[in-house]
Amino acid sequence: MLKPKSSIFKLSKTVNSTIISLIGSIFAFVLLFRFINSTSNLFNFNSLFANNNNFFLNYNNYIPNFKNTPGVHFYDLNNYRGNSDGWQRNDRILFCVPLRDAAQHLPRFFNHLNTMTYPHNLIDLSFLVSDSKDDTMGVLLSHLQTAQSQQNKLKRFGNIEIYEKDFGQIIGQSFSDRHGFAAQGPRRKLMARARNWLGSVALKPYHSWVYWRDVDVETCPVTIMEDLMHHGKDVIVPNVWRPLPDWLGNIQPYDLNSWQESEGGLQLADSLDEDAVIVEGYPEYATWRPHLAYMRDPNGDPEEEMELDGIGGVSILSKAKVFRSGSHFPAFSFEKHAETEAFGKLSRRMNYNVVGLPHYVVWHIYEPSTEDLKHMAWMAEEEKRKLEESKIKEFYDKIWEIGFDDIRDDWRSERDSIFNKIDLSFKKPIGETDADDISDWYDDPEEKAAQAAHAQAQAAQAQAQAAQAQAQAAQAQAQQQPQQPAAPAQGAPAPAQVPIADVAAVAAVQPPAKPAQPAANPADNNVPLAAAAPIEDANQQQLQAAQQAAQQQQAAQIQDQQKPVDFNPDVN
Amino acid sequence: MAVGAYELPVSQHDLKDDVEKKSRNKGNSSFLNMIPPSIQYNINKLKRLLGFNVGKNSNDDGGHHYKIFNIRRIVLILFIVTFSIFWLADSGSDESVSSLIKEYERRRNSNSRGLRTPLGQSSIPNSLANPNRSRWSKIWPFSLLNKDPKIVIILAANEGGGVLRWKNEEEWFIEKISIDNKKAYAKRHGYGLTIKDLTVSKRYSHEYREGWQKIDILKQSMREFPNAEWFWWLDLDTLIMEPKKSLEDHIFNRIDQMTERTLEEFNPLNIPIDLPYVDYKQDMNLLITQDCGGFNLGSFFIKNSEWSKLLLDVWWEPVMYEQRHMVWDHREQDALEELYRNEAWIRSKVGFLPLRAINSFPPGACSESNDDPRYFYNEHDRDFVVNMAGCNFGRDCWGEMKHYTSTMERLNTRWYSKLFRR
Repeated sequence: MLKPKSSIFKLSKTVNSTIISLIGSIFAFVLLFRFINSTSNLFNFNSLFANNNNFFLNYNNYIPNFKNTPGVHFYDLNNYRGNSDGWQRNDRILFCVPLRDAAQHLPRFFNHLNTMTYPHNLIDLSFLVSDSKDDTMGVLLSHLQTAQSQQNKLKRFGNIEIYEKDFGQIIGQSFSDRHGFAAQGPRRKLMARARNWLGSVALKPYHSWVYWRDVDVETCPVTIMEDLMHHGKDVIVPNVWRPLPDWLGNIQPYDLNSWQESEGGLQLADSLDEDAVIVEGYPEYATWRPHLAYMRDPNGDPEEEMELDGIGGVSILSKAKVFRSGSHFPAFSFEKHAETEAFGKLSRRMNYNVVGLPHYVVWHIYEPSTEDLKHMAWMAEEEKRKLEESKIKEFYDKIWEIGFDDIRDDWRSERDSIFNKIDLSFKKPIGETDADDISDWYDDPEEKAAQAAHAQAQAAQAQAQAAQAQAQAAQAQAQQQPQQPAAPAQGAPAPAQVPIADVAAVAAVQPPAKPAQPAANPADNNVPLAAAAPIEDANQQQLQAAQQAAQQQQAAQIQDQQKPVDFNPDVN
Repeated sequence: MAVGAYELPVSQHDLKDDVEKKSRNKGNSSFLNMIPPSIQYNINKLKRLLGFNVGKNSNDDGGHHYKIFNIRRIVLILFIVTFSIFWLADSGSDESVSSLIKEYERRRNSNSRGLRTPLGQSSIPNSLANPNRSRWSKIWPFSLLNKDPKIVIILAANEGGGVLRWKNEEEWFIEKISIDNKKAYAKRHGYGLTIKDLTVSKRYSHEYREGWQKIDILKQSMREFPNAEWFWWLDLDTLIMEPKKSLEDHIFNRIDQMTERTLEEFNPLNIPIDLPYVDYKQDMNLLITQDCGGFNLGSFFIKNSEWSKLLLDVWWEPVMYEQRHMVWDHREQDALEELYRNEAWIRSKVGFLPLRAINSFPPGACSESNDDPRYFYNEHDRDFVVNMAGCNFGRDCWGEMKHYTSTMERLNTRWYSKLFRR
C-alpha cells in the first residue's frame, strides 16, 4: 500500500540529485559572478549595468598606472556620475555654502552638519565668504576647528575649503532689503556670480554630487542627503517653509522660487525685455505658476515628486555631472530668469530632470522684515501700555468704591413701584413692541416672569387709555410741535432741557421724541443720574409730570408714525 | 466528542495511528522522514482537525475510523464558507474613511512640523510627476479592465493647484476623500473615471474665460473616450452617498419618469417657457439640475454626440464671453442659461432632473429657501449624491465633508464589516 508512494520517492530521488547538482552549479556561478562584480566595484567598475557599453568591455578597461609619475592624476569620470545609493558606494559630495554676514547663523548650521547621517568623511565642505561686515570668517574658523578636532574621527568631514571674495554688493542684507521687488533682478544676478565662483573652484573631479545649502535653515531632517539622493534625480530640491510667530499665523510657505512653468508665465516672459528677470511672489509679475511650496500636504507621501522648471536655492542636491556638462547659475537673464531659477530652467533645457518633493519640508528660519520689526516694537509698546492701564484702572476702581454708594440693589427693589406709576400706554398704539419686550428690564428669570404678568396687566390698562391718548394727541401736537425738530439735532443736550423727572422718563423709556438719537450716548450719560434721581426726591407730582411728558411724547410719535420706536430697556 | 470539538485530539494521538507510527519507525524511503517528527505530528493533527481521512489507508483492524461527516469537519467547513462569503461581500474599501478622519484630525491638532507618514494610501500616485504635464488626466488602472466604459465620470480635482495660495491640509484631505469615493463607485459599477486638473491658469482667468475649463475638459474627455455614451461631470465637493445604486438603475433605465423636458414645474429663473421650433420628442443629450438660483452644473450628464460637441463649441464662443462676462456672475452656468433661453435646438435636447436626484444640497446652500425640501439632502430618502456647492464661501467645507462621509459610511456598512477592518 505504500508502494506507489515509495516509488514516487525513488523517482524523486533520482530527479533530486540532478536538480541539486544543477542548483549547485548555478549557485556557484552566481557566487563567482558576484565576486567578480564586487571586485570590479573595488576598482570602480560600479556601474556595470547602468552604462550602455558592452559590459564585457568594462573588464578590459585599461587603467594606466601613474602612481610612480609625480604630478599626474588620473580620473575615470565615469566613476563619479552619482548613484542613488551614494552613501553605500562612497560617493563624495561637495557641500557648497555661500556666506555673507552669517556669523549668527553658523552655530545652528554646524549643529545641522554634525547631526547629518551621511558619512562625514565623504562630505567636502566649501565656503565662500563675501562682503561680510561681521566676524563671519572668525566664527566659521572656530566652528570648523571644533568640528575637525572631534574625538570620533568618523564625525570629521572630508576636505574643507574656504574662499573669500567680495562682490561689492550694494543691496543691504536685511530681510526687507533682500526681498524688495526692485532689488531682485540685480541681486539675483550678483548672487549667481558668487555661486558660480564658488562652484567652479570647489568642484573636483572626484565629486559625484553637489549640494547647495543656505546657512539660515532652522530645522532639517538629519537624513536629508540620503532622502534627496535616493530619488536618483539630476537636480532635486525639498519644499522650503518657515515658521512664523503666533501673531502672523503659525507657518508659511517660504521658497516660492520652486515652480512649474505655466502658459501665463511664458507669455509674461515673452512680453519682457531681454535683460529682465522674473521673480516670484511679487504682484508686479503674475506668473500663474504652480509653486512647490503651495503644494505641500503635511499628510502626504514625502516620496512624491513634482517636476519643476525653476528651483530655489535653500537646499539643492544635484549630480556633479550637471555642473560639469555646463549647467550653472546664469548671472544673466536666461529665459527671463537668473540664479537658481535659471539653473533649473537651464538644466531642464539640457535634458536633465529637475524635481521637487512637495511633501518633504525643510524649515527656513524666520527673519522679521522691517515692517514686522515695527509691528513687534508696536506690540511690545502696546503690552507696556496695557500693563500701565490696568494698574491705573485698578487704582481708579478702588477710588470709585470708596467715593460712591452702590445703590443698585435699592434701585432693583424700588423700581417696580416707580415704573408702576409710569403710563406705558403710548407703547401700544404703535404696535411695534408688546409686553414681552418690556420684561427685558429684568436680569433674573423670576423677576422677568413677574414683570411679564405685570406688563400684561399694564397692556390691558393701556388699551383703555389708548382712547384718552388719542384725544390728547391733537392738543399735545400743538404743544410739542415747536420743540420737536430741535431734539434730534441736538442729541445729547436734549434731555437737559426738560425737568429732572422728565429726564427719568426719557432715560427709562427711550423717548420716541429722539428717534435719530446717536447711539444711546445721552442715555449712557444720564442713566445713573436718572436712575438715582427719582429715588431720592421722587414725589407724586414729579412722577405725574413724567407721565404727562411721556404721553405728550407718545402723542408726538403718533403724528410721526413712520419712524420705528426703539425701546431701549438698558436701564441698569 | 461534540463538546471537545476544538480541543486537541490528544486521545487520538495516543491511539496507535499507523501513519505516524510508520513514519517514525520505518525507514528512510519516505519523503515524510525528512520532516522532523514533531512537525509531522502537527501535520497529521491538522489533517485530522480538518477532517481529512488520514487513517483511511491504514490497516482496518485498528478499529478506528474517521467518519466522513465528522461534526468538527462540518463546523469548520461552515465557518470557513461563511467567513469567505462575508469577506468577499465586504470587498468595498479596505480602509474605513472614518478611521482616517480621526487620524487626520489628531494630526492636525498636534500641529507638529516634523515629517509625517503618509495618511492612508496615496490616492494620486505620481500624479505630479507625469512628464507630459497632463498630470491628473490619468486613467485609473481598473478602467483598463473596461477599456470602453459606456459611462465616464469626470471628476474635477486639484482646484487652485497651488498657484495663488497654499493648497492646504484640509483641501488635500477633502480631495482624497472625494477621489476615493468616485474611484470606488466607478470600480464597483465598471464605469470609467477620469480626474481632471483645475489648476488656476491665465487661460481661464477673468480676462479670458473665468471658470470655463469645464468646457475644455469635456471636449478633451470626449476625445479621450470616443466610445463612451454618457459623461457625468462631478465637482470635487461632491460625495456619492449611495454607491450601491448604479446609474442605469437610478437614472438611465427610467429616464423618462425622472426628467422634465420643460420648465413648467420648476422655473426659478422665470425663463419664458415657450419658444418656437422646440421639438421635445428628440432624445435628451444634456441632463442638468436646477437649484434655487437656476441651472447648477456641479453634477450633470452630457451625452457623447454631435449635438453635444456643437453645444460645447457654441458655449465656448469667445464673443459671448467678451460681451457678457461682467453680467454673468455664475460664468458658464449663466452662459448655458442664455443659450437655453434663446436657442430652440438646444432646448430640444435638454432634460431637467430633480436636484436631489444627482445633486442634493447640504443645508446652508440655497439658504434663502431653507425649508424647501426640493433642494436638501435627506438621509431617509437615501439621496444619491450630495454636492457641497459653495462650501468655501463662508461655510465649513471640512465639517460638511466629514459629516456626509460618516453618514455615507453609516448608511452603507453592514454589521460584519467591522470584522475586516483595522
